[in-house]
Amino acid sequence: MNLLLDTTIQIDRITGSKERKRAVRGILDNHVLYCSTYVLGEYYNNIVKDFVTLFSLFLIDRDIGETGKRINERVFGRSQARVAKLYANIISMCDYNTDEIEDTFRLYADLIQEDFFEDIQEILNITKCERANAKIIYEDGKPILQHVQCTKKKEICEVCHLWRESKGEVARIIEDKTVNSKILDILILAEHDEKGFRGRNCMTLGDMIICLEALKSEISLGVCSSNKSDFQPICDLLGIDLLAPDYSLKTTSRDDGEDDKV
Amino acid sequence: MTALQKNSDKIINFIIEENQQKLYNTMLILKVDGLENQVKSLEDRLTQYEREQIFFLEDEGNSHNPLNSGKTLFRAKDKMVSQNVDDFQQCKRIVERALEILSDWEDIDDIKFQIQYAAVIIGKIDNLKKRKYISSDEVRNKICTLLRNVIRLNATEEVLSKEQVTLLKEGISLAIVENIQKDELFKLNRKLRKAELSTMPAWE
Repeated sequence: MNLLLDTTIQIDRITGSKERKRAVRGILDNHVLYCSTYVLGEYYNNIVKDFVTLFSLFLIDRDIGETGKRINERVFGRSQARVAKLYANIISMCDYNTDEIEDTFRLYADLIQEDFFEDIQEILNITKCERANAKIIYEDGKPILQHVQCTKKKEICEVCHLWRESKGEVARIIEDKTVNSKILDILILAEHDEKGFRGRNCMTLGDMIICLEALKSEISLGVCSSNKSDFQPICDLLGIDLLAPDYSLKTTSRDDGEDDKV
Repeated sequence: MTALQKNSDKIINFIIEENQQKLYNTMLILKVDGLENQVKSLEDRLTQYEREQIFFLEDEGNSHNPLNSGKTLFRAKDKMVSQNVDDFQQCKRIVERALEILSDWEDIDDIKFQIQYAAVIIGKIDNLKKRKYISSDEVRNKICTLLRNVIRLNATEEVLSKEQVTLLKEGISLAIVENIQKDELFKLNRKLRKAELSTMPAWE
């Protein structure tokens, strides 16, 4: 099957634990993988942005304690737990050596951008998402992520064009009402003014956009997401196959006949 | 004074003058000889410097020493080249030794031994990273960092397979490949990930 990977799957296969990566690898084997500029944009807006911020925080003082302190301040909000975990792992892995830590940050700045494209056959560009054009650049050795501003006022991509092409699907979803209420509210508003599809709302409608990209693509695509609960109703309504890894799988018990001896 | 006396005086004066002239000439010759010796000595020193291949380059106006006439001494290009060769040879020796250790590691099935080998290899990588040949090259430095992190993340979790250790050998060999490009770093990273080695700690 051809599969369109959503942001959660990309995040899991790049930054997830060993168990998650294994589960994702298991589910993606034997499929042809696709992704989209919309997903790439979301990835840059979350993972890469957090990473660059963390790296920059470290470079401010090059002090392990100070950096740790700043992570706990307001900088990261909801992604604080993720960033704190990464930072703790990096400093431990580098034996609390600031030169090694900096080298690791510089390496990972390359790898997190490169790993996104691993095994991907093609990156669809239906929405022409501007956030996907962001890249990490360096000024005097300090990383900067190019900033892209998505606002309601200005149309800088073709996501509205996708919505215009999907009026039938949108009507079906509004009528059905099984999707998340936040999404429904935005869709109802945007039906009358397509500015409602832009800015922050575009990010809220991300799941729907990814499903519509799969639906409207010239290639017949299913969707792969870690977020089964949000994607299932949309995929069911649109008639798209959904594949989701099962992270609840426990490791199988040993069957080699060994007793639980000390 | 008689004419004879006058003539005698003249002759004596002439002899004195001539001797003075000779003396002067002799002194002049001696002086020139001395100068020539000094010049020769300077030339010898210059030749010696040339042999050591120190050469003078024009300073761009920063010299405060009036006798220096704006010239600055730089180390010989060849001396730098020979130092670079030394540095590379050191790196090569470290890599060769690391490869020997990794070859032994391939046959290990006990995690306790694996941890010991891992610590040694990390030490080798740390030594490599101190070498200018590695630290001054972005790709080489990143390859070493990647390998170091892979070993740190994986060596205490489970015994690595032969295939995984072979990849570590491949990686460490890359550190001394001439004209290494960033693509090689990414290829190595992908191979390591495909072989189910963690290359990055978990964020989630």
